[in-house]
Amino acid sequence: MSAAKGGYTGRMLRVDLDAATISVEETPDPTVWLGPRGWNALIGWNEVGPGVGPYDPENRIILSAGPLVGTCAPTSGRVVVSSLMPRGYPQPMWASATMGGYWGAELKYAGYDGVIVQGRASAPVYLLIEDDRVSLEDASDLWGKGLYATQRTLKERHGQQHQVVAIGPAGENRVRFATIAHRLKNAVGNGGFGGVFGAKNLKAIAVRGTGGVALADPAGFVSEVQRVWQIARGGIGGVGQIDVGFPMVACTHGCTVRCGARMEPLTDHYGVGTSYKMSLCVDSSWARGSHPEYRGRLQSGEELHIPRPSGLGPLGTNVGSLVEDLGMTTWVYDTWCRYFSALEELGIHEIEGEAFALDDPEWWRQWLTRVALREGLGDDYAEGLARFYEKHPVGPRYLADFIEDAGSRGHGWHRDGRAMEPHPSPFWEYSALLYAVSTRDVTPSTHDFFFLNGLYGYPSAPKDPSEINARLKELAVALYGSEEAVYPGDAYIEHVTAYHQHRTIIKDSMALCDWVFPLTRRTFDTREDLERELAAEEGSIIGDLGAEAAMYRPCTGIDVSIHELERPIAERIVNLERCIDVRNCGRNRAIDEVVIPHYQWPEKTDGTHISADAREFRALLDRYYSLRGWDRETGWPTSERLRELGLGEVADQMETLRR
Amino acid sequence: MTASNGSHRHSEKPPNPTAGARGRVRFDPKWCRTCRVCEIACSIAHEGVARPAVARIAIHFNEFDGESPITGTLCVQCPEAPCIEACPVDALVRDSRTGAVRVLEEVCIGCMQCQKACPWGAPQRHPDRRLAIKCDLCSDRADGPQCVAMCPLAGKALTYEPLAYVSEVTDERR
Repeated sequence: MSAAKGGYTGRMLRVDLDAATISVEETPDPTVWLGPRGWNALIGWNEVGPGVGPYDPENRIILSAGPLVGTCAPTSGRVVVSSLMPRGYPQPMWASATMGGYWGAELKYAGYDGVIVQGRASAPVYLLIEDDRVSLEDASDLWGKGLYATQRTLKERHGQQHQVVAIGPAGENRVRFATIAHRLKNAVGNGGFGGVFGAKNLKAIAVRGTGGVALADPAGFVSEVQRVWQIARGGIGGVGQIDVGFPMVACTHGCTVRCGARMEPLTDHYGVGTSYKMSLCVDSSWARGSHPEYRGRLQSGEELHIPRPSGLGPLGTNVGSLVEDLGMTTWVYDTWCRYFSALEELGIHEIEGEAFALDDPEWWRQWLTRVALREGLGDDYAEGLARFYEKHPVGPRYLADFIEDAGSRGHGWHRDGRAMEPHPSPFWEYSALLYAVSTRDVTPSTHDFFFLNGLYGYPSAPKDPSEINARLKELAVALYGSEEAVYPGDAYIEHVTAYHQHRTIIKDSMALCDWVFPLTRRTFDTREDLERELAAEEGSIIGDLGAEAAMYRPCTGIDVSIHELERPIAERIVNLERCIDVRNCGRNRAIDEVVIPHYQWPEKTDGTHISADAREFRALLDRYYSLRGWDRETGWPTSERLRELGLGEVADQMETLRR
Repeated sequence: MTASNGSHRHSEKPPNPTAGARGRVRFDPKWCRTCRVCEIACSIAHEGVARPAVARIAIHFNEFDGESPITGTLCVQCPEAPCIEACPVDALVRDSRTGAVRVLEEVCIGCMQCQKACPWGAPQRHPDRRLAIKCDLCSDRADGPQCVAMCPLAGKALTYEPLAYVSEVTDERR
């Protein structure tokens, strides 16, 4: 830790719920492991062995905050949570998820980079952190309560400035899509980490800190933050700046960029106990409907129609709030309504004698409550669609698989060009490769390449490279080394995937918002300015690809370039995360290839797909493995590459496994 | 103790003949997006560290309730400042250049009578030095208050009304 003069606190809390002990340990060396993704993977590798399941006491769950958290760097308030992810299908693997809010900053102010939780408490507890005073407290009065009531109770008991992460009934009951959440909306999220807290009998972590985050060069840091903000301020669209007040708010500490996050007034029809709801992204689906329908035909002749979930109207906002209070992902509607409504089109109007009423908010209220409490058929729904279908094979298998299956790692397919938004080639090819080597829904941590879609003529698709905007081609060269990366087809996609995997690890390790970083494009004041630049003979739309490192250096005093953060640091972490799954779960090439059948459905916009023999996709996977230094037969990282990356001890263990 | 809008509360009082003596930072919760960058900007400017506990401005976001869930605690640099009156050791003085009420730390005894006297409880006790701290409009910085300089909605959520500006308005009112 001596290398860092700021950013990091240098300390992590370890909570052993078996022994009911709390200890403080040194944060793993940031010059080797950078931040949350690296620390968490290191702990996973060292401490979570083969045979351990997500709900076992031996599993670890780690909540970490990176060096920029608690500062004024744009969007810097995020927390990274890692563990064995319960929703993973057919088997849970190691995964990470991030959330915004104030909790991560408060943890830093209390003096910690992260919290490692292990074991299982004999009765429900919550962890209370107040600077150096850390204790486990009785949570029997909170068990069974919703997320809002839990947070209110803890704030009333300990102070309004305490920040709380907690689980709702769904997490207590190990629903595989239960959240750990904070405030109204900040959550991890889709993968069921709430159930890991639940299995540990850990209801919440409340934190209050009165310390601060040191800065190696305060003036230099402020100056870099102001410079980066000018490039980032347009947010996702890269246009304009935040020029609207309440109800538009920051979803995370330090967020100073344009975004759609907003507070929606609630009538609180279901009495969950809040007069507002915070909305982002898919949250409005409950009221206003979701992604467009899908129609497609496989080469083997099967046809599929998935209607668009149409939303429940004004009461849908209340249903969405109920979902969050119960402690489940708001994506539930998107996943299950697609399945149920596609069944209805096939003339199937019930499951196990229970009829659907998909337009009725009250029907959803009952359905959601039964899922969260695992009552009746809700017990099977709580396992997620992929596992539910194994037990209740209602409708054709390819219908359920199309919505979530082993290829999507048990998550709802997302940004695949099929189930969700249109993504013409090469965007869906990138998605396919990323899903192939992932353990979870890939989109929430790698939006970056998909956002270039807007420059691609989305939703139309160029058929020829000459039709692609010159600025986009220049950007592709700057980012990936070749303009082929944005041509239709899969040329160069392995480089795109590797680049964004590295950049995701850097972004998560700071930790910054996935909708904003890396800053591939700069902000324009108006849409016209952007259009003018795109049409001009010369110019540039490139943002600042080194922004994370530029803020990191004066923050920490560690002199490192963005290229060094990419390789070897981020590459080291990608490889260690892969090795956890190879060792613990038998991850191999065959498991990577289970994505293929899904991408044999035609893409929404251009109809392109993986061919029946999947030869081109397997060749892409070969190229990716070669780039990574992974064995083409097994998909395992080679000893040579692991040793190059300073992972000698990992290589030794992997060699033992090979024998 | 907090006020949803200090300037609004203050403007309900009758115009004060010495109003021209102050500059101030005005907070408007309708525009605030709760990023809390102002707190960090303030603590870096005054203490060289990102630390809300020593910031001279605080933003509170009560997400669950209320007609106005966003509130701020900051000094409005009252023309007739009760904190100055309340200080038993004359540690609070008006800065003649900015119009801000400043704490003379070498004089302050940390009794916090200033906080008790303030309608908004704006002065805070420094958690380490145990002395009063409050907004001084970044009197030592040529580019003005750092909270405003770093606010992404500067001029809306946080506005710097320097001494000259306030004098002008007051003159018109006269």
